[in-house]
Amino acid sequence: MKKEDSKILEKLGKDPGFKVPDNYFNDFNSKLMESLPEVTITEEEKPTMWVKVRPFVYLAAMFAGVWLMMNIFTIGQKAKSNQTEAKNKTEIDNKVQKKSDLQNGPIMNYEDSVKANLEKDNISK
Amino acid sequence: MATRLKYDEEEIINQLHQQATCRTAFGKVIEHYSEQLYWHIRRMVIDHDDTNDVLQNTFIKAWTNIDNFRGDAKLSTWLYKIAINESITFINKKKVQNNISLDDDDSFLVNSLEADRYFDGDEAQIRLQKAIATLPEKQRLVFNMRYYDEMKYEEMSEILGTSVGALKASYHHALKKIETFFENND
Repeated sequence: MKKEDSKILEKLGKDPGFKVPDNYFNDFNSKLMESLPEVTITEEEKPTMWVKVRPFVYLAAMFAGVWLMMNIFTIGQKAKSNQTEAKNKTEIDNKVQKKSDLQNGPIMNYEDSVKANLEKDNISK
Repeated sequence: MATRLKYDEEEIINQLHQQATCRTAFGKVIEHYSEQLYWHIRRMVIDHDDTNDVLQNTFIKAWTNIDNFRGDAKLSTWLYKIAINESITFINKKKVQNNISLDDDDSFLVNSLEADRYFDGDEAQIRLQKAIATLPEKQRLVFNMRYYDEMKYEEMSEILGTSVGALKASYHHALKKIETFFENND
């Protein structure tokens, strides 16, 4: 008897006085089994190999996709930076050329030099 | 005495989900649970013949719905739930047949107890059954499951869908009411 039970119940005990006919449960079980109707069970299909590995394949494909995108992005960035570098180099080369031209004086052809001399004479007159 | 079949619940649940083995597996379920469910129903509906009908309905209902049982809960929890529903439905039907309001207690069930050939309790046992029958349905269930079946509150909580605290309170109230019934009927 548990602590929580009352004194009245302690006196009465746990047998309510209910009885069953002899061999009742064995008879009940066999009679019931005979009277059970037919039922159709929806059997769960066993998962195929593909169903089992599918999540892993999807995961691998996702990672491969991410890796590919990152690589494409990096290659693109590299190509762009190479182009910019080449452009900058050309600009720098041009500037250097111009600077050296200014320092050494322009190389004039015959006609230009004649023109320049004539202009010089006119100014002095 | 019939030989008892080995009962492995996990294995039985697997077999219940296969067309070829479900009937044999259900036979094992009946053999394993029929007695405990019988006593649980008997304490609710009191009369042996009525208990026999309700128990039969319980197993037939379980069998016809076996495809819906996915094994998420324990088989015993599922069967107890069906048995309780079937018992309450039966009692309500009987109330309607006897022109008793559904709000009234279940004392009418005990009236014929003395004449029941499958009852050999004394006067005190009859009084206890009368006291239990005056309890509200939920308290009756809680009292029977705790006092007679000695079921754990956690298991009762799963079956009845009520918190452990509420069940303890319910059992305590039931005890008090039974004591009061005995004091008033001395």
